[in-house]
Amino acid sequence: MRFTFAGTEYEGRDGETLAAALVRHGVRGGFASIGLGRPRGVFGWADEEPNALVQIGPKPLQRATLVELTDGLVAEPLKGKGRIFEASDDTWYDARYVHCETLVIGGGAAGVAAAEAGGGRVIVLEASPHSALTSDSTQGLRVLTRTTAVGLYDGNYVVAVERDRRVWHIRAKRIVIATGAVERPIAFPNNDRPGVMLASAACRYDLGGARVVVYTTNDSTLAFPDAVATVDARSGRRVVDTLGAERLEGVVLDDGSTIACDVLAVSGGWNPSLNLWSHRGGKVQWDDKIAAFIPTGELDGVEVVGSAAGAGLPDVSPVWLTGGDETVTFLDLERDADLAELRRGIGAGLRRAEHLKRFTLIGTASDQGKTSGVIAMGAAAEIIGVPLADLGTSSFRPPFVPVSFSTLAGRNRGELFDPKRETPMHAWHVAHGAIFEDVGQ
Amino acid sequence: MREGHPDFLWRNPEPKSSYEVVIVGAGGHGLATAYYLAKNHGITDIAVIEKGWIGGGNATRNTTVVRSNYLWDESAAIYEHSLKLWEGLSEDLDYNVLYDPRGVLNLAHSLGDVREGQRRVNANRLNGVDAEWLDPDDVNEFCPIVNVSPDARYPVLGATLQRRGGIARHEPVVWGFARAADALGVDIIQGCEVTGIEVEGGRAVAVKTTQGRIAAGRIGLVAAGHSSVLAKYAGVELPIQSHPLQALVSDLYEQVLDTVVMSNAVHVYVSQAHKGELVMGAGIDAYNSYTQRGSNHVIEHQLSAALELFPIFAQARVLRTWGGIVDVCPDASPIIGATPVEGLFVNCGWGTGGFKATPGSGWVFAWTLAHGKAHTLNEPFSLERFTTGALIDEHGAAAVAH
Amino acid sequence: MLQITCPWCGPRDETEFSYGGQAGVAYPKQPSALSDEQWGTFVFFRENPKGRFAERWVHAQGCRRWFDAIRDTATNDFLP
Ligand SMILES: Cc1cc2nc3c(=O)[nH]c(=O)nc-3n(C[C@H](O)[C@H](O)[C@H](O)COP(=O)(O)OP(=O)(O)OC[C@H]3O[C@@H](n4cnc5c(N)ncnc54)[C@H](O)[C@@H]3O)c2cc1C
Ligand SMILES: [Zn+2]
Repeated sequence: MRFTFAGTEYEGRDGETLAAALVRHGVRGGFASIGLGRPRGVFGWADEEPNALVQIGPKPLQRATLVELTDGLVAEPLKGKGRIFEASDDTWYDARYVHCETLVIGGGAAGVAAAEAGGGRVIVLEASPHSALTSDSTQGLRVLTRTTAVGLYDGNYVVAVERDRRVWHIRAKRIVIATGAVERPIAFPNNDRPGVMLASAACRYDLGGARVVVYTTNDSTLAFPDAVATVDARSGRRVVDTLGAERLEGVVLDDGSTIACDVLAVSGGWNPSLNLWSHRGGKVQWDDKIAAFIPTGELDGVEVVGSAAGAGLPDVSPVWLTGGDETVTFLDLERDADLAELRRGIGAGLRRAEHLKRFTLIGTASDQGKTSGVIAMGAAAEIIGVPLADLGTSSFRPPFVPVSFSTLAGRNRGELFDPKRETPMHAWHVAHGAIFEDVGQ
Repeated sequence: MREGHPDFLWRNPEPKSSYEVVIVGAGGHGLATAYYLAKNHGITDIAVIEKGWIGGGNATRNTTVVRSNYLWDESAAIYEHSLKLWEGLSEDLDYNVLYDPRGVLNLAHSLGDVREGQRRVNANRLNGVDAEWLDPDDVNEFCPIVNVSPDARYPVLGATLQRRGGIARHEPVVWGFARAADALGVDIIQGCEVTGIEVEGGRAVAVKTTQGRIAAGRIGLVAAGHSSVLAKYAGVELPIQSHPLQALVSDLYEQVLDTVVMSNAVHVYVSQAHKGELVMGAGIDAYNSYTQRGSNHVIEHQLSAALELFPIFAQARVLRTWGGIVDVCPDASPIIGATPVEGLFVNCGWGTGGFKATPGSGWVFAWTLAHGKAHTLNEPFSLERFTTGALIDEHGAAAVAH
Repeated sequence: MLQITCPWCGPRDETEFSYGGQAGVAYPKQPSALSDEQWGTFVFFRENPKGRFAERWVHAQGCRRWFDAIRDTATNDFLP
C-alpha cells in the first residue's frame, strides 16, 4: 500500500494509522505549530494527539493518529488551521435510533467486564477498530467498533459517531463509562521537540532502532522496552531541556549532564477520561495519590468503571514546574501556549481554571485539552501556592472529538431538510397556471 | 490597538459589610453598570457580587453578534446608543475588544420576510440607524459563499444589511469592564452567591450571601437567566422564563466568511471569528431550564440548516457545543428599571440578544441606579409595561435575536 | 433530548412533544372584573422556579393529548 505525506510517497501497512506509518519510517517532525511555527511531530497514540494534524482532500484537521491508511491516501500537514471548500461527496450520512438496557462506552478490560455482566440488550462502543468482544444477537449483544461516544445528554441519551458517517442515538437504562485514562506529558523547556512523545504512544509505535530515554513520574513506564536510560522524577531527577533542532538529539538533566537520544518517552501521570461524565453535569474531585481528577457524586443511571474511575492507575509524584525558559515550556502544544503566558495570567489576578484557560487558550483547541488541561492547572496551583482543587475545574462540553457538520446533519438535507408541504389542490393550481407566493412552507 | 490581554486585570478583594451600591451578577451588563456608575456618576463604593466567576454566565457563552437594527423607536434608540459606545469601547477601556463592524446580513426567505425586512430598513433609516436592502445578487456579491440558488428549499429572496453591525470578542469586553471598574475602586467579589434579599418596610437594605450579609444603599439585579430567582428573594415577580440557548464552534479554518449572516427562517446565524473558528448559534430549547445544556437534536437541526445556506461548510467540524440560560421576556425586549421594592432595581430580560447591548445597558442602568429613576432611554422598558400594555414587541426583528 | 413519559403512550423522545409552560393556570372566570394589574399578571407572568416545576406538555406527534408533569429545572429530571 502506498500513501503520500507532504508530497513524499511512503509504503504503508494494513491496519496501520498514518501516524504509526510516519513514525515507522523515521519521520519525527513533519508538522509545524500554529503560532510560532516550531517543528512538531507525532506525540500521542489516539485522540489526544495535539501536533499531527492533516488535511485529507476536503477533510480538514484530521488527526494522523486516527487516520487508518488506505492505498493512495494523500495527506498534507496542517499548521493548526484547516481548509474548507466545496467538494462533491457521495458519502451516505445516516443516523440510527436504538434503545438498550446497558450501554458500555469503551471496549477495554473494564468495558468488556461490564458488558459481560450487563443485563438485557447490551451495546458496547469502542473507538478503535478492535474489540475483544463480537456482536452476538442471540445474547442481545451489539459491539460497535470505530464508534466514538461524543456526547452524554439528559435522560441517559448518548450520541455516538461511527466512522464519521453514521450517528447513533442511544437511549439506555444504564450507562457504563469505561473510557479509560489518557497519559499526560511533563512541562519543561523545549518539551515540544519532535521525538518527545507520550510514553504510552512511544511504546506502541515501531521506533526502529531509535535511542529512547524515558522520563517518568510513575510506575506505568516500568516495562518500557529497550530504553537507553530512565529519568525517574521520583528520585529527584529532572529533564531540564532538550537538544536538537528539527528533531530531538538529546536531553539535558538537572545535573547538567546530557544523554543522546532520538525519542524521549514522557509520563506525567494519567488522567481518567471523564468528558462524558462531565457532559451530564457529573462532578470530579482531585485525588492526590494518583494526581488526577476522579469522578465523585452520582448521576442517575450512569456509572464510571475501570481507569476512567481511577482504578488501577499508578501513584504519581507530579512535576508541575521545572524552571528554565518558560517561553519555550509548552503546556498546550496544539495552541502553542506556554508557561510564561500562564504565569502572566496569574500575575494579572486570575485565580480560576476557567479564567486561566481563556487567558492562555490552554485546552481550547481541537484536542479539547486532553494532554494540556491538568498540567496547566498543576503549574498554576503551584505558582499561586494553593491546592490544585482550589482553582476549580473547567467542565467538558460535547462533542468528545470533533464531528463534521455533514455527519450530524445526516439525511436532513436538500428536500429532506424540511419537506415541502403542499395542499391537495396544488397540482390543480399548477395545471391552471397559478402564480405562487413563497410563504416558506 | 494591540491585541491580547493586559498584564493586570483585577484584584480579588474580600467583601466589606456594606456598600453604597451592590450589583448582583458579574456578567457583561453588571460589570458595565459598575464601570459607568464609577466613571459617569462618581459612585465608587460598589460591590459586584458573583456566584461563580467573572463572565461565567452568558457574557462569555454568546455568539457575539453586535447590531442595532431593531424595529421600534424605543429599541432602536437604546441599541443604537449601545452601538455608538461599541465604536469607542476599545479606547475607552484601553483594551482591544476586537469590535469588528464587518456587516450583519439578515436573510429573507419568503415574501413575508421580504416585507418585514424592507419595513425594518425603512424604520431603521427614519431612526438614523444605518440599513440597506440587498436583492439576491447583492447578497451573492457581499457574501459569495451563501447559496442564493432559487432552487434552495428556502431560497434567498433578499436581505437587510447593517454595515456597522458585526462581532466583538467576549473576554476583552467582559474583562475590560471588570478591569476598568476595578481600577476605579469597585470590589468584584467572585465565588459569592446571593441567597436572599433583606427587605425592611418595603425597602431593600441588604443581600445575604454565602460570604455573609452585605448592606446596600441600592441593589441592582443583573443576573440574566437567574433574574426570576433573585427577584423572588425580595418578593418581586418578573414576567420572565429561563430557557437553554445553545451555540457551537468549529475548529480553525482559513478565512471563508468575513461578515455575519443570520436567517430567521432557517434558524442560522454564523460568523467566522478572528482566529478562524466558525461560530454558530442555535434556537432556544422549548422548555424552562436552569441547566446550562440543551438537547442534541437542536444542534443537529442547526447544522442541517447551515448546510442549506452554506454548502462550503460540509466538512467543517463541530468542535464544541454549549448552552447558556437566557431570560426570555414576553415581548422579546428587556426590563430595565425600578421594582415595587424601594431601592431594588432590575436589568434583565435580554434573552437571546443582550451581548450587543452590554455597554448601552450598563450605561442606562448606571444612570438609573445613580438617580433612582429611569433615564429616557430605558423608561419605556419598565416592568409596568406588562400592566399598561405598552409592549415593545421585537419578535419580528428578534425571532433569532442575536 | 429529554425522555418524557406520556401518561397514555409511555416514555417517548422529547421531539414528539410540544411544550405548554406552567401547569394549572386557569383562565379567569370573569376577565372583565379584573384590574389591569391582575389581567397583566394572568397574561404575562408565569412561575419560573429553579427546582420543582409543574408544567404542561402535549404529545403532538403521538396521541395529541395534553398532560401535566413535574420536572426539576435545575437537573431536567422528571419527578414522580
Ligand atoms: C448561546 C448564546 C448565544 C448568544 N448570542 C448572542 C449574540 O450573538 N448577540 C447578542 O447580543 N446576545 C447574545 N446572547 C445573549 C447575551 O449573551 C445575554 O443577553 C447577555 O450576556 C446577558 O447579560 P450578562 O452578560 O450580564 O449575563 P451573564 O453573563 O449571564 O451574567 C449574569 C451573572 O449573574 C450571576 N448570578 C446569577 N445568580 C446569582 C446569584 N444568586 N448571586 C450572584 N451572582 C449570580 C451569574 O453567575 C452570571 O455571571 C446569547 C446568549 C447565549 C446563551
Ligand atoms: Zn401520548
